[in-house]
Amino acid sequence: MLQYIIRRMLYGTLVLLGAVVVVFFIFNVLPGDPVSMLAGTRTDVAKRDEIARDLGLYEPLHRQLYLYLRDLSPVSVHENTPEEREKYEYLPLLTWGKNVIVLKMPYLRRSYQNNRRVSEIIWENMEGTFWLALAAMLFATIFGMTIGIIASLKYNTTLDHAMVSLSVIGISSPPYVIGTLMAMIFGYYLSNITGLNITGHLWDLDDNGNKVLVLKNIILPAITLGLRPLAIIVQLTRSSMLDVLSQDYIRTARAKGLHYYTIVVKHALKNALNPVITAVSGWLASLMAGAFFVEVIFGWKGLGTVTIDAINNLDFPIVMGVTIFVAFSFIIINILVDLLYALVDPRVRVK
Amino acid sequence: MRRLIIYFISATLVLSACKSSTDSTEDQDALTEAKGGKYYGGIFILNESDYIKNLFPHNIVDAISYRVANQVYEGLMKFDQKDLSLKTGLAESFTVDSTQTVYTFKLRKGVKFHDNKCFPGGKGREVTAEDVKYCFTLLCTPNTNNQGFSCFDKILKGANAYYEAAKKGKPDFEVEGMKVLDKYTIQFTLVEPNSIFLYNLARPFTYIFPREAYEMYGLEMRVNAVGTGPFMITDIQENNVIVMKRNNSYYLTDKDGNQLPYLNGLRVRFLKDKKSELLEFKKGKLNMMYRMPTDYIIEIEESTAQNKGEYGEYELQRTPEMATHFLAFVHNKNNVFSNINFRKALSFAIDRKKILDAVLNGEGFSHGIYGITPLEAFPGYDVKKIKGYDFNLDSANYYLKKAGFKKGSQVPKLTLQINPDGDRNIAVAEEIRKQLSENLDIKMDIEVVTTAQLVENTQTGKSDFFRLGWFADYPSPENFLWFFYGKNVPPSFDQKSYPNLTRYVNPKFDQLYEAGLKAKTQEEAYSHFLKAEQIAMNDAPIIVLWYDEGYRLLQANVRGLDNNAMQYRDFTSVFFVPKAKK
Repeated sequence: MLQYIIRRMLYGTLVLLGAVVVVFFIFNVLPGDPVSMLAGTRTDVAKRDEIARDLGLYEPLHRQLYLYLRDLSPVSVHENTPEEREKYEYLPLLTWGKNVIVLKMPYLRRSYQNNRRVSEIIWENMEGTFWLALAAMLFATIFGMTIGIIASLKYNTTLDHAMVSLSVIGISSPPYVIGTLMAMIFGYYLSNITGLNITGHLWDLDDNGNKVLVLKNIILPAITLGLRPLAIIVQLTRSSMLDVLSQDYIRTARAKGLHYYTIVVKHALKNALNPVITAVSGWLASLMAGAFFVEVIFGWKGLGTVTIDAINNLDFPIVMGVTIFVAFSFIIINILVDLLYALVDPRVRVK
Repeated sequence: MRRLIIYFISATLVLSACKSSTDSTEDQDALTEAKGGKYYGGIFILNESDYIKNLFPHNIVDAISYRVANQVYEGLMKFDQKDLSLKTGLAESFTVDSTQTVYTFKLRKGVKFHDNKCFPGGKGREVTAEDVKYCFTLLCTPNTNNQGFSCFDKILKGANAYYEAAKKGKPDFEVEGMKVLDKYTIQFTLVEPNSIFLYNLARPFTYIFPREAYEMYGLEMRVNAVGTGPFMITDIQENNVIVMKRNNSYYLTDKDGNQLPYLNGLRVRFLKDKKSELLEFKKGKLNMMYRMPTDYIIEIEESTAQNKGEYGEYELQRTPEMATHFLAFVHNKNNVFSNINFRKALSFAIDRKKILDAVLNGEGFSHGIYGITPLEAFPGYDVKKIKGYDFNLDSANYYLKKAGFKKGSQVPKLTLQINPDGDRNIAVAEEIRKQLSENLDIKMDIEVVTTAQLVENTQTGKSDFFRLGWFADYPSPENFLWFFYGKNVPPSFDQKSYPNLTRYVNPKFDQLYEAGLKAKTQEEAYSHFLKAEQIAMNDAPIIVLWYDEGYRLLQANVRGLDNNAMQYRDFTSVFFVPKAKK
């Protein structure tokens, strides 16, 4: 098992490295002059020079790549100067001569627009995206499984057909269309009844500057984001339940005279849910990346809004940072899901 | 299963019961009456479509940061919100000597900085002339966090010497033209008379802040603002909201003796989408909305004019804005636009009125048939005297022939670069393409790029033909003519050209422009500027399309918020009236 974990980690690191290199080259090909963006418009040559040097823009490309990888690596070699220490906030491990081997948080550089640390920006906005993805997934899982089970129990009735057709609509409608409709209907026309806002974030500041939690703002974006996985979960649960319900052991259980609902819940559901759970955990990662449009529509402050703003402003460190961060989350979640799956399902055995 | 469903229903109920008190302007019932029919209290909520970049005075380069910072900081001078005339801010009064080069400012006594933890004991101390000197000396020091040296560059005596010396470390001398005479008096000596020096003292670069704050926060003054203004920032949630509260010890009172400001606070939100902003405004969750979505303009105009319908209860404020929209060419590059006759042919071939009426739904003050300076934005500067270009097919054909093209189809295909700006620019560009094709049979491609990309392409001359909106950041026509000043143009295309993106050079223009800068009075300056502008327009360096108009919707209970051509906002004397008293 341990060997498996280590192998997956190594594999994951390679994937991440590949992603970083691709991202680095793509963003180096793209136009846009970071110096002007940092310096503003009314500035002089000396200052531009200073910024360009600080960003390492005068170095050849391969050296820039090396510098970028060094910035990202948690263990790296740096010069032992106060400036470097302030820049990387590192923990010195071993000093030799002018250099020092350090342990640090990956340094994702600073935004071209406001000079803030990208890691700080990601950290600040990750929370929003995470809660939104989680809420959407919870909504999709609970309602999706419920509807899927009902549809399978009422197999071939009007109710079943209606649910299946609705779920097809759910799968095929893009989130930005649903999002706009939801915002208009529930956030505006019906807002007196629902009490919901068109836009808003999880956290707000009250008039005295205190942070307050506004939970109701998560409802509309979470439903919008969850609608598509919900539809897929409905279909998955339904077909998987139908499959299980037609198996011999269910007939045996019924023949024993067990109560119908006991059979469904205790015997059928347990087995039917395996593929659903895999799908759900896999979706959580992609929802974090898929929340971009939904965040923009509902004014939700998360990685999506930040990234789209950054793209519009050619603020590449943020776009690169978020891309790498999302790749990293994908890899971690996938490893976790595989491990969980191996633990939960005895039929899956790890060599 | 039924139990599960019940749990869900109750959970939803609990969620919707958590009503937040912060999201509505309806909480303004707690108004208390003041003298002279004014009311204290209430929180004013407004929206900005972009997030602030930086609130540190020396690094304020965008309009949004300017509007936010203007509530927190003050300079020696200020603008009047009504007509943008200059008035004193932190200065109580000032005198200018007969040579027009020595300015002596007397500061107000007893003005305190906002309470902040950067001061000992957290209590704000009094502002003195030393603070002014500290801030202005810092403004003359090269630093990546300082974008404002242009305010004193070649204007204040000794500023350039200090700036050069400071590149190598802190100079052992002071800026020659800046002297503290006593605790409340400071004197500036200029290199030569300058007609925009006083304006510069009202711009964000010259806001006064305490040394303690800069020493404590440094770069983090981006979001830690300590000033003297009517409001102080209590908290900022990045990209989401900025909350400001009343400065209880602000030094101004109104004419009835009421302590200013009237409002308890301000709340700035950052919604990007104009349509959701309008919906929020209609729900009463914003007190003001600046710039409407173009599709709604006609409906809003009619409804507010007749005081009925969907928008009937709101107040619509309209004013010509200090902004001009135009198409620009890159000059002196080996391209078809180097031919003055060709530029004139294009200038005559575009029906600007049709663009304004049909594409923009009238959202603009006037179509652009004069110069680059917007119409009626600067009192005393009569742009109508400038002869520009209007739609005239005969002239267009005449100049096209003169340019050496027998017919339009011989002209190589043009490419116009634009940024989308909520699709408005695309619609305008489509109309121009149609008109050029119908009127002169000239074909044109439209290339849509992001705003940042367009800025980049224009500065480096990568784009030959592009659309621009030019906005003034202080109320002087100089701000527009600056765009054509040839001495700012670098010799080669490897270097960026700013602000003169077109790289247009005309020595005669430069001469008049400089004369205008050095003029002793505004009239004299304006007469030079007018001549300069006409000379530039004779060369058809750009195609002016239209002059902007600022549209602003206010809730009916807002008083004291005058609109102006620069969206210069001062909430010092804004107040609410109770809903019943509409």
